[in-house]
Amino acid sequence: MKKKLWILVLLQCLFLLGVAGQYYAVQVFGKEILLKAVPVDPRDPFRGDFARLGFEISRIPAPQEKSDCKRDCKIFVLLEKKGQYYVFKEASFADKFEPEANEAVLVGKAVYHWESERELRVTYGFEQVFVEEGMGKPLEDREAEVTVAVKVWNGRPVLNHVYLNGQLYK
Amino acid sequence: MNRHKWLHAELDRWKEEGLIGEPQAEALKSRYPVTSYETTSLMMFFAALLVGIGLIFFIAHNWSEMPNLLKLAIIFAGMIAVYGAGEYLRGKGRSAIGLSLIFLGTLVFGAGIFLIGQMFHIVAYNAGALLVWSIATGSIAWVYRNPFIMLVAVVQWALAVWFQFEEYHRTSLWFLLLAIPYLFVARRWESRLMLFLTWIGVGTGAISNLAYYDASELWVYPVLLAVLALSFTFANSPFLPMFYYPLLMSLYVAITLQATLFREDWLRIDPSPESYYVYAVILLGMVVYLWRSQLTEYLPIAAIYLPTAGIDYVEFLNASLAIAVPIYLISLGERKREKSWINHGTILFLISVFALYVVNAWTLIDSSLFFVVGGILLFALAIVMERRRRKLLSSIREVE
Repeated sequence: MKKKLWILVLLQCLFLLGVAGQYYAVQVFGKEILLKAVPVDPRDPFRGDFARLGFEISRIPAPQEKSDCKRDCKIFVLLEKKGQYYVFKEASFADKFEPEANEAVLVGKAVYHWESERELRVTYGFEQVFVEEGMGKPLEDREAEVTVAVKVWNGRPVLNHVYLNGQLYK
Repeated sequence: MNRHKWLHAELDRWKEEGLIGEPQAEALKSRYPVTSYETTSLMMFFAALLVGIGLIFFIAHNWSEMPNLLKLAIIFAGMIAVYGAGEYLRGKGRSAIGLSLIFLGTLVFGAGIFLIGQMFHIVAYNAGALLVWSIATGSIAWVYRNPFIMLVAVVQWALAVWFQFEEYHRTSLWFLLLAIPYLFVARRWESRLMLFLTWIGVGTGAISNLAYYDASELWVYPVLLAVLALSFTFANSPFLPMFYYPLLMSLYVAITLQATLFREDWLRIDPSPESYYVYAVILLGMVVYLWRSQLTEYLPIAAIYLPTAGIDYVEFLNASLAIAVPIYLISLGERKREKSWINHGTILFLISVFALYVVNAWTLIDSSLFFVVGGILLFALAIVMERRRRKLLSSIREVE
């Protein structure tokens, strides 16, 4: 009994370490890029308050190449640095970009396809910012200027910091 | 659950019939002991559950000041300490508190998963996290052959199915596959409650997959009603037990939906006229059938399946139905001397009250206060309802 318990506890620890380790790796080895955000609002019962963010790169022109994929397609988005921020440059369903020093590639999911407008809505997995209870409000203010610093490593992004009107937001 | 209770009864009979002697019967009885939920150990499990939920909320709301690595270290240390203490106490023969600490260990593991999600602001994490959590809890429950921990694992899995529906509006096969080991365990441990909960999860998954292809949410009602109608068709036949769980599942889902989902502001899509026609046909068919079979006393139960969307005062009407139908079930059980109607009526009543409370109070009061008030409310109601239920059951026994 005892042995079985410790095997299970070890597996649980390894699982937690594995998940945390993946994201730590991105934080340590990743390249930091700044993105402009547009916030919306809700709440998560398990993890307290959060603000939902949208980005300029959340809506991008669809790539020229054909894809059979209807939803949740893996998409590679090439960004380039313009001034302080990284902005959209090109997107592809194939992993074909080799970014220069002032560029970065994000891997996202194209979640909706407007055939006629040739536009994609893309989620990258860092659209939620978890904050302490009641702290989400300022981020929801439409007048506020919200920017996020994201670490990217091998296309995998992790949200690192949130800035509200140029100030680091806790 | 009363595992092996049947075996003990059988052994007594065999002994009386002279098939086996006293020593053999006793030896077999000690090999297959009767395990059941005992009040004190249940209370300890609930205490562990509350501590665990408190921990998850604490992490969710208050931990932004601490560095991430320290948070992780606390989770790991806490998890190992709680599991270790549990196993140690169990070894010392204090199995109730030992097992409840081991159960707390599974909750700390869950808190760890959500902590990591929060630390790195990971989106779309709930469903997968609950699935992993359920597997972890289920494995611990299996190792200790503990029905309560296994029930929690099943609930976590059912929640995972529900959250996946919430996040992606469908259920993947992988999520539903986990129902197989749980159904297997439920069958093997002869736990009807576990079987029932697993069916609820499967039902939610199946319904969510169907709903994904059909934009309207209201079609669910005709399906639930059809299940009810079908089970009534077998009301007086030996096939009824086969439909017992689907029937109960249909009732539980309908009542929870009525109490929570179908509120004016939550209804995004107007029901199509066709769905009303389908609905009317099934409803009418059932009324006619019940009337002709002289089963009209079951008819008021169908009120919970009334399509109330779009009607004035829909929230008030739904709340009244969600409260009235379970009360009717209890009174029906009393009249027909059916214990299961009384038991399920009681549970359904509690679910209705709690669901109504969740829907109406969540937005009004602070979340920690919400849980405390909810807990006290539920506790008080449970005591009153339990007293009434026992009284009814004992009166039935007296008559028998």
